[in-house]
Amino acid sequence: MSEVDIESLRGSRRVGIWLEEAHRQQGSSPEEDERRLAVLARFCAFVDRTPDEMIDDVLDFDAGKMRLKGRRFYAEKIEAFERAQEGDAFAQRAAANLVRSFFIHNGLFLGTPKAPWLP
Amino acid sequence: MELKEVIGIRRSIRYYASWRPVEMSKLQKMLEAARLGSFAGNMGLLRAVVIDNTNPSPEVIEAVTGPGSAVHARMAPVLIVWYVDVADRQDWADRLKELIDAGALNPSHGWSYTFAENFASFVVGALKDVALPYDMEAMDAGQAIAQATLVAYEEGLGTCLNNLDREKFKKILKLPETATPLVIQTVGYPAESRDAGGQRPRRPFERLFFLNEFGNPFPRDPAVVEELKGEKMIQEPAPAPWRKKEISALAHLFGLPE
Repeated sequence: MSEVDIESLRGSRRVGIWLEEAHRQQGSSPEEDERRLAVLARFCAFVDRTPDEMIDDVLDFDAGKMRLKGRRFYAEKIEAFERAQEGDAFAQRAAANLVRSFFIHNGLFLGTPKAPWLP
Repeated sequence: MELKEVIGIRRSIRYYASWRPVEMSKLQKMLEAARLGSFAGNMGLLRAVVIDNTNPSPEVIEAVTGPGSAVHARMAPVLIVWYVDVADRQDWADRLKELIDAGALNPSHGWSYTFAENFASFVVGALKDVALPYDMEAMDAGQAIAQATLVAYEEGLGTCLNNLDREKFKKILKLPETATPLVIQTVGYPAESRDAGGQRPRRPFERLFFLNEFGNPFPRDPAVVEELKGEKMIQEPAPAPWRKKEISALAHLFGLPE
């Protein structure tokens, strides 16, 4: 998946859960949603997976289990994604944290490394 | 009274002014303090039944099992049975969501409604056959009871925690099957002096606390000790020279052996 159409993400159940929770906690903003979806689209292209596939790779809801291999895979991919972003460390972290937010609001905390600007 | 002084003046009181009733408002303050305790994930399973012990029931006194505890359980005008009810584990996801809505648990630490539901479902499922409070629930209860205890002393009361016969108290108090009585607290105005003969002995600080690893005692700064003495958290050690006479007088007063 080299490019991901933002509009296609809107139909994703997992994206719906993410945006709904994010709106409830942070308020609704179409501009912010555009930014969220643009970053998630880039990450989907980065790992060549759809949003729903990413969650299914880690959480087995039927069995009530988490796949540790999948969890580690996405934690590492998000860190790699962060390093690959344009801009300074703050901008890179902000983009990666939007992807982490997608996972968090779907029930999965992948951990966040210490910010590079902290001593 | 400042917090440190309250910590300093707390003693387990074993002689109560049985003739002096405890104001309901002071008991409420104790319960309010317990309610505001720290509860893991806001589970909050601690409950209490306050017993008017003005005319002690033989059935109740018999179910107080600690050595010598029945003696002061008869004197104290109030008894509080603290217990945990695990039935309320069931709505834990809702309690976690309350913390999310309150801004206590946040996405920066991985918390979301979905995570709360998954996590609560997992934990509650794992504990479904566990009738007794697990470590964290018991510790939460202890912390909350400690808060209630400190408020009692700040209000001029004295208390003592005692063992009990769980099954007997479940029956006496008509507690649900899911309840586990933890401890019975005697509450009343002390018949003994406020400082009850001085601060009770404790193991040496250096043997209790370590820095970085076991065996490396946490350094006890004498200046801090002096500061805490000034703030009345560290008080004169027991026994005060007059303590034996006080005990003798109390024993006479209450018709107890010396």
